[in-house]
This record gives sequence, structure tokens and C-alpha cells, in this order.
Amino acid sequence: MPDTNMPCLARPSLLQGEDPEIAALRRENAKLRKINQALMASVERGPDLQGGAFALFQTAAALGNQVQERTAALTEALGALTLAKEEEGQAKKRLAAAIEAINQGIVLCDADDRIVVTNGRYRELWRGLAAEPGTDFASVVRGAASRNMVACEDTDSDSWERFRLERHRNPGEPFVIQFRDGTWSQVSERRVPGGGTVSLYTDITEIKRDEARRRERELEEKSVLLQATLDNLSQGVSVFDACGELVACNPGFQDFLRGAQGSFAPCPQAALSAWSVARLQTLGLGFVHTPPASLGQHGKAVEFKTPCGRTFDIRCSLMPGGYCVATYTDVTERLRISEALQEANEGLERRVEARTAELIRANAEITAAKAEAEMMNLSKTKFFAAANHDLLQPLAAARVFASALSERRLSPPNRELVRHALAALDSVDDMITALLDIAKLDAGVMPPAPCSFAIREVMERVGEEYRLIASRKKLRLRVFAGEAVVHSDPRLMSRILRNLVSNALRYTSSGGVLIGHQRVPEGLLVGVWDTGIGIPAEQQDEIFEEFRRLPQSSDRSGRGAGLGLSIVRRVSRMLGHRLVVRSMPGRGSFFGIVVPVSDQAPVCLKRPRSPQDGCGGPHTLRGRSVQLIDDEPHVLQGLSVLLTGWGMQVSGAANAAQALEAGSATPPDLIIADYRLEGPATGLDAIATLRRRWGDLPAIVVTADHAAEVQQEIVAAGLHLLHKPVRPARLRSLITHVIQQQGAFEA
Amino acid sequence: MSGIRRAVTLAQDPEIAASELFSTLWQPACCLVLLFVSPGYDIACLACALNRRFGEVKLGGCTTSGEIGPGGYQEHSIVGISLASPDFAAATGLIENLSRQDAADMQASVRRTRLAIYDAAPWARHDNLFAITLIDGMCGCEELVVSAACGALGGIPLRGGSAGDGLHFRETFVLHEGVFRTDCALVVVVATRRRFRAFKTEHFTAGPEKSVVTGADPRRRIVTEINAEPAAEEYARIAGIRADELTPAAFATHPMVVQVAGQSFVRSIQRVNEDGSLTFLCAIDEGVVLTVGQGGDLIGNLQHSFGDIERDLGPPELVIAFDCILRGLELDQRRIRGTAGALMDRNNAVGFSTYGEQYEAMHMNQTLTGIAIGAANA
Repeated sequence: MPDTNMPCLARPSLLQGEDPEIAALRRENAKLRKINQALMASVERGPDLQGGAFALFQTAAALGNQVQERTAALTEALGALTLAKEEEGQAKKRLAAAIEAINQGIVLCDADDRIVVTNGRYRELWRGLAAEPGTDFASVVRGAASRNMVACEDTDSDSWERFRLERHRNPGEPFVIQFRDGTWSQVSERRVPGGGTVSLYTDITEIKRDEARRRERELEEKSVLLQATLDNLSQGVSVFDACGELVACNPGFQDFLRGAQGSFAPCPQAALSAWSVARLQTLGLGFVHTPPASLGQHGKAVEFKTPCGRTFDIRCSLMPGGYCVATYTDVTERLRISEALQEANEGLERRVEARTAELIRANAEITAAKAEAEMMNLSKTKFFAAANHDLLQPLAAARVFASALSERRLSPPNRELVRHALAALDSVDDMITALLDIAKLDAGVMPPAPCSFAIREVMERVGEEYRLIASRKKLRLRVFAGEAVVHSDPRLMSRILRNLVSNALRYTSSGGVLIGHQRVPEGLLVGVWDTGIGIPAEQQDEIFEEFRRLPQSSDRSGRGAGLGLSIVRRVSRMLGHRLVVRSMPGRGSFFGIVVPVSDQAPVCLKRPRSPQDGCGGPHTLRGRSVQLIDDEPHVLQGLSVLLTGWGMQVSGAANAAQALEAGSATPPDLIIADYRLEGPATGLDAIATLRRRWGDLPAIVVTADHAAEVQQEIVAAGLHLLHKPVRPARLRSLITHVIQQQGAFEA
Repeated sequence: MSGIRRAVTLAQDPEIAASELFSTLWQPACCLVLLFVSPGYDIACLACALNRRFGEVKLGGCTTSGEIGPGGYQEHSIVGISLASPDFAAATGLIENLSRQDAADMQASVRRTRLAIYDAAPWARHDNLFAITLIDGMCGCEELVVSAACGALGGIPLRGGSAGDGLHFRETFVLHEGVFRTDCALVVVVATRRRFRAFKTEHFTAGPEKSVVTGADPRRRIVTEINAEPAAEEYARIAGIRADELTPAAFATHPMVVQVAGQSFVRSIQRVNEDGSLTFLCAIDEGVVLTVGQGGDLIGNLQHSFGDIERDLGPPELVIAFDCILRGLELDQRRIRGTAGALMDRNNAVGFSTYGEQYEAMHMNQTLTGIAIGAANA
């Protein structure tokens, strides 16, 4: 196979007669030049990548790893790129599959509101509409609206279209679409990054249906419940709609209609509405099913009497929706009860009147009884006053006479007799005073007036009173008092202590008597200790009885009436103070009471002036004139003797008028009037009368009345008070005091 | 041995051969079957028989110029391997119409194959992949294919062989998806959890006398002139052999060697043409400087190579071997085929005698390239 392309060097011809050596050299030279040419061409061509297969080989071999590495890097990059592209493709495919697999309709629109991607669900929702990628979203909405695919309850399809596009432009809260085919979708929309909107359509048909079923069931249940409630009402109820058709009623209503007709045939249930309307019409109760416009919101109430004598209260009112509700209440029984109640009420009123009258009568009786009792009480008090007066008055007179007698010059035997008479009179006086005290205590006319006071004051005063008597008997009388404040009646306390001290002195012949107190758990034990004869234990109860006396009295002449301890017991009971007695025969006794201690400030007790306080002697009375007023002539005479004995000028009168009649031109220095005078006028009146004539003279009122009112009356009149029986010493002291005071004024 | 199976059949009947191969190679989770088929078979019938049995399994392969398998070197046989999960995964891709393709198309095709391996084996990484090319041995453009493939594979090891046709040099076939085709290249990307090693070995070095190609047809791999003399005549003169002795055996023992970047690469001669030009088995061009190579100790070299592999991986479970046909001829000439075959067998090699070997981006001759797979996982 000749190669025309490649020229082969012709072998040199020996026939040309050339020198073989030259020819060989020339040929060699030509070969070398060709080799040279080939090599140079090869060099010039170089190992370029665009060259032939050998060049590729050469490059691969020469550059080896260098090129390979670069190529590898490039390829790696390309590979990665391809891989990435593939992965992207894969991802896209997966995304598409995922979107397709989602159980919700999805549509993604770009910033220009053109559809980018949808899934099968979405296309199924809007089947028949071209919802392909690139389609304008608005056109899909328009298509749906024009095909009337959406059930818009309140609006027309144009409004829905506007609403839908507006929501798509401004996604907000999810909203619901109801399709004509009865399915429901909830649409959630959201802006996506880079503009555009994604919409999710969730099928909520089942939820909606469940909801509807549940609502229906609830309505049904409510309806049943309502009817059951109606049926159980004793009232009749009817409900008519705006067209006058009966829509609800209960057996009570039917009973009413039948009763009202007087017929008790069963109601025709099939045509109940028409039957009811006809009956109501006949009864004139048409407003119940066709309410007049005037019925208004507050309704109407009528009372309806049935032929069979029953009364119904019919109330009718309008409800929203034109319904008219009427209730039929059988008030027959209520009315009957109401009447009965009325009757009962009237009867009751009558009885109350009767009872009131009785009560008034009883009241009057009680008032009368009370008045009677008060009268009796008053008369008792009057009795005591009278007793005081009537008993003590002659006694006082006797004392005055005896006293006057003793001041005469007498033979010693006579003097002794007068002295005994005086002592006997004193004894009687004491006894009567004590008896009156007991009577007063028992009658309750000396009510205690407790207050807080310093016990020391009471104790010391009593001690003072008995100091003279004690010294005559050569007994020591001591008072041992602290600063205790007690709560009691100071007057009654004094009386208790006087009696105790008096008793102690009477039964003690040597030693002494101590007035003292000591603390005990309940309060303060206040009492009198003596060194007397003592009391055997078995007699300690007896001694408190009236007229009990111990046989051995130290002082025969000074024996008491045996009433002292009785008074002590009565007073302590009245005050609620416990009485304490301790005694040992032959050694001495202790009598005391337990007084409650007070933490309040003590009141200041008025300490009566002792008669001895008067600084004037007997001479001060001499020449003084005194006007005596007393309706008792012997008292008047007795006092006149006594006062005249003191050198006074005495004029006596039974009353004021008599005194003025007989009176001299010069007024007296002093008036002494008895409180109780003959007639209604009192000593006060008499004094007042005399003062009108003689001016504001000092005056002393003498009274046997211990009532507080009397005392107050006297003190209020600015007069001096002297209790009966009048003791000469006390009288004299008071007169001296009054005259001196007057003198001081005059001076 | 799990995951890797090796097979050989000497049965000439396609059905029987297919049955035998199937019974040995089939395994559960089989992901790749490669078959190297002697050119004597009726490949159409064989393809049918194989498809019926292997069905969906990825089936690749090519025709050979001699097979290597259990028992060493042989002829008129089919050898094969199968790989299975979980230790292996494979992706295959076919580059068709090699003669009309350009590099970019080839790269795209290979890239697809490479990406496919990530689908088959999500665990695949850059360092547990390798590629195998089986190229139509008569296409004459292996350089372009491997250049493109190597670029697209991004530096993962590439080994391969050009399909053979005995010593006839008429037609070679590549098997892909149950079809034997021409003018195409099969690219197989394998991911493995095993340790592996891609290797190459040769035993020729450049000789002292240099000559220059002064006339060539690079497209057809024909050299017309060497040193401005007719190529065959000049080759014979340089090699020191008589002109009537220019046979494949002589080409095998006296190969032309080119020096590039200090390395020697054999340029094997396929045949002497009637016009005195030489047709080569690989790329050649004008201005290329050639020497006649000086051969070393083939057996020693082979032992050394296997020794390296064993030191690296331990005894290999499989060596996929691409052995140049001219090495086979040398073995015959030196009468050491048995010895070499025993070495191959001992190292569990399966492969074939090629019309050229691919090594990374290069297409070469008179080498042994391949992939050795160890028993241990990486």
C-alpha cells in the first residue's frame, strides 16, 4: 500500500556515477534534516492540550499529578455543583411531594399575586377553575364568585369577592369559607418573605357538622326540658306566635280552657291550635292569641271567673319575635284563703281590743294596789314618825323636867333619887331609840347609800364619842386605823361600830377596848376587841337575838336593852357584810364585819361638830331671847324651864300666829320650832311667818322625823336641825353655835 | 469469602457457560458482575443466556485476548467476578459512539456515573471509590476517553483495559446492560468498605539508541518513517531483528519505549503494514523520540508488585488485573506463563489480556494495571 502523503527519500542511484561516499553522506544529510525538521515541528507544536492523542498522553505523563490535581479540583467543583443541582432538584421534588401530601389545600402566590404553586387539594377545592402556576389569584377568586361556588350567607358574591381579595392582600385572622356543596374550609393566610402570600385551606366540614349536630341535639334537649317544665307547671301556659298560632302550651292551659267552658271533654289534640283560638275567642280572651298593639312590653293581667266558680289570674306579655306568652293561674284557693285571712284578722282585732280593755282594767287595779301599797308604806312611815314623836316627846319632857330638877338645890337623898330618875329615863330613851331603829330597819325605810370612804374617819369618830364613857369606867379605849378605803354606807357603819363599842364597854370591867381593822381575803375586817367576860361558843348565836343579854354584866346600872347586837346583825345583813364573832370566855371578845375594799377615791365625810367645840360657856346664853313654837304644851313648858335655867328669856307659842300676837316689839335672838305642828302648817311655815315680821332670824327646827325629805327640806331652808329626843347638852351647844354665828354676821 | 466471588467457565456453550457463571457468581445483594469473555463465544447467545439469569444485576464486561482467573492464564474461557453489598456498591455508565464524541460529552457522561454511586452508596467518599474502564480496543481513542474520564472522576483511582480480540485485531466488544457493543467504553465506579490499592507495574526501560519518528499518521496510530527511513525497516534495524521476524512475539520482546518526564512508557506495535509502516496500539506522533526498550525480569517484577500489595492489604481477596497481550506473548516466548499464572492465581487475580491498559489519565502498553482488594475493611 503506497503512501502518497508521506514522501519517501529515493534511494540514491549508483548509476549516476556519483561517488558512493558523497552519495551516502548526502543521503545521511537529507535524513538528518528530516529528523531535524520532525523534531523542530514537534517542539514547536508543543505538548498542547488541543493536540492529538499523543499530546494528551504526553501531557498526562508529563504534567501527571499537577494537571490531574487541578482537573480533579475543577471536576470536584463541577461535581459538587451538579450534586447541588441534583440535590436542589431533589429538594424541589420532595417539597412538591410534601406539599402534595399535605392534607390541606395550599396556594402560594408571588408578590404580584400570581399563583406560584398549588397542590391537588387546593385544585380540588376550586375544581373547574384554572389555578395553574402563573394565573392571577384574583381571577380564581372572580371565577369562584361568578360560579357561585361559595355560600355567602349575608352578602352577595361581589361583596364576597371583594372581601376575599382584601383578606388575601392583608392576611390576618383565619376565616371560614362555606362552599355550595356543603363543605367548609378554614383559610389561614400569611405573608411570606420576599413578598407573596401563602394560603392554607383546612377542611373543617366534619367539625362544622359535628357542631351543628351538637347544637341541634342541645336544642332538642332544651326543647324537651322546656316542655317538661311547662307540663309540670301547675299554672297554665300558652305561647302564640305572631300569626296567632299556638306554638306551645301545657296541660294546665288545656285544663283552663275546658274548665272555662264548663265542659271537661278532652281537647282535640290534632286541631289544638284552632280549638284553643276558638275557645279563647268565645271567652273574650282574644288578646291572648292576637295581642293588641297596646299590650306593650309590660303585658296585661285580668281576673277571669269561670262558670264553675273558679277564678283565674291571666297574665299576658309579648316576647321578642312577636310571641305572646300567657299564664293562667288558678287563684280561687288563694282568694279563699285571703278572705279567710281577712276574717281571721278581723276576729283577731276584736280579741285584741277585748284583751286591751282587760289589760287596761288590770293595769288600773295594779296601779290602785300600788297606790294602796305606797299608802300603806307611807302610813307605816308616818306611824314610825308618830311613834317617835308621841313616845319621845313625853320622854324628852320628862328628861327636861328631871334635868331641871337636878340643877336645883336638893338634899343629898333627893339628889340621889333625881340622879336615878335621870339614869332610868336615859335607859328608856336608849331602848326606845333602839327599838325604833330595829323597826325602821325591818320596814326598809333606811335604805343604805353606799359610797367609798376612809374607814379611819368613821372609826375615829366613834372612838371620840365613847372616849368619855370609857374613861369613867377606867377602861382604855384605843382606835387603831390605817388608810384603807372601803365601800359601804358610812352612816350604817357608824351605827354598827357604836353598838359594838357600846356593847364592849358594857361587858368589860378591866383592861381596854380596841377599835381596829385587819386585812382578810374578802376585804377589810373592821371590829372591836375587848378584854371582857367573853361568850361561850354555844351562846354565840343567841347573843344576836333581841333582848338577849349575858348574865354577867360588869355594870349593873349600865345594862343595855339587849338590842345592840340585834341591830348590828340587821344592819350588816342589809349591807351584805359578813358578821364575825370570836370569843373566849373570861378573856375577851371580838365582834366585827367584813367590808369590801374600794380602789376609788374616798369621799370626804362631814364631820359633825362636837358640841364641846363651842367656845362659848354658859354665860353666853344669858340674856338671850328665844321664841319657842310647839303645839305640845308640856314640851313647850319643859323646854322653857330648861332654857330659862340657862338664863335665856323664853316666850312660847303653839303656832306662829300666837307667837306674833303675844310677841314683844323687839324680835327674839332665836326661834326654836317643832317641825310637826297642829294643822297643815309645819315648823318651817311658822318660822317663815315669824321671819316675815322679824327679819332673818336664826332658827332651829326640832323633829322626831328621820325621813331624808324632811332633813333636806330643813337644810334647804337654811335652818338648823335637831333630832328628838332633845338632849340638853346638844341643844345648848347648838344654840350657842347659832347665836355666835349670828353675832359674827352682825359684827 | 463474602461480598466477592470469582468464577471461570471453560464451557463453550453459552447456556452452560452462563449457568456455571451464575451459580458461582450470584450472591444476595449482588451489585456488580464483570465478565471477561474469550472472543470465540457466540456473544449474542451468551448475552441472552446471561440476561435471563442475572436479570437486573449490573452486568459489565468485554472480550479479551486471553483470560486470567482461577487457575491462572487461560484461553477460550469466561472469567468473572461479582461484588455485593454491604461492602461494595457500583455504578456503571456507557460512553457510546467514541469515534464521534468530544471530551466534554464524555466528561458529562462519566460525571453522571460518578454521581450515581452516591445514590447507590450514601456512605461513599472520595477515598473509598475507584473506577474501572473497559474500552473497545479497536477504537483507537483510549487517550481521549481516559483523559475525559479521569477529569470527570475528580482524582479517584482509575484502572482499566482495552477489550481484546485474541491476536486478530478485528473487533472487540464491551458488555453493558446485557448487550455487547462496539465503539463504546464502559465506566464502572465502585465504592468499597474494604481496603484496596490501585497499582501498575512494567519491566521495560529505555534503551541507548534513540530514533525519531519522522513520518506518522497520529489519528490512525501509524508511523511511516523512523529516522527518515521506512518505519518497519528502521525498527527492525534498531531492534536487531530480521525483517521477516517482525511478529507480535518480536514486538513483545523488543518494544519501542518513549521517555516522558524521565519515565519510560512502552509504545507497542500492533502490526507491520504492507507499506512498511507500523501500526501502534497507542498514541504516536511525528517528532517523538523512541528507543528500543530493555526488558527486565518479568516474574521478579510481578512478585515484587504482589509483595507490595500484600504488605499493604494482606493477602488480597481479589485482584482485578489488566495485563497487556504483549506481556502474555513474552510469557509464552520465555515459557514462564505457568509461573506467572500461578502467581496470579495465588493472588486471586481475575482479569484479561488487553489491547492496552489504562492508568489514571494515560493509555499505555506492556504493563499490568489493576485494583487489589483486601479482606479487611478500611
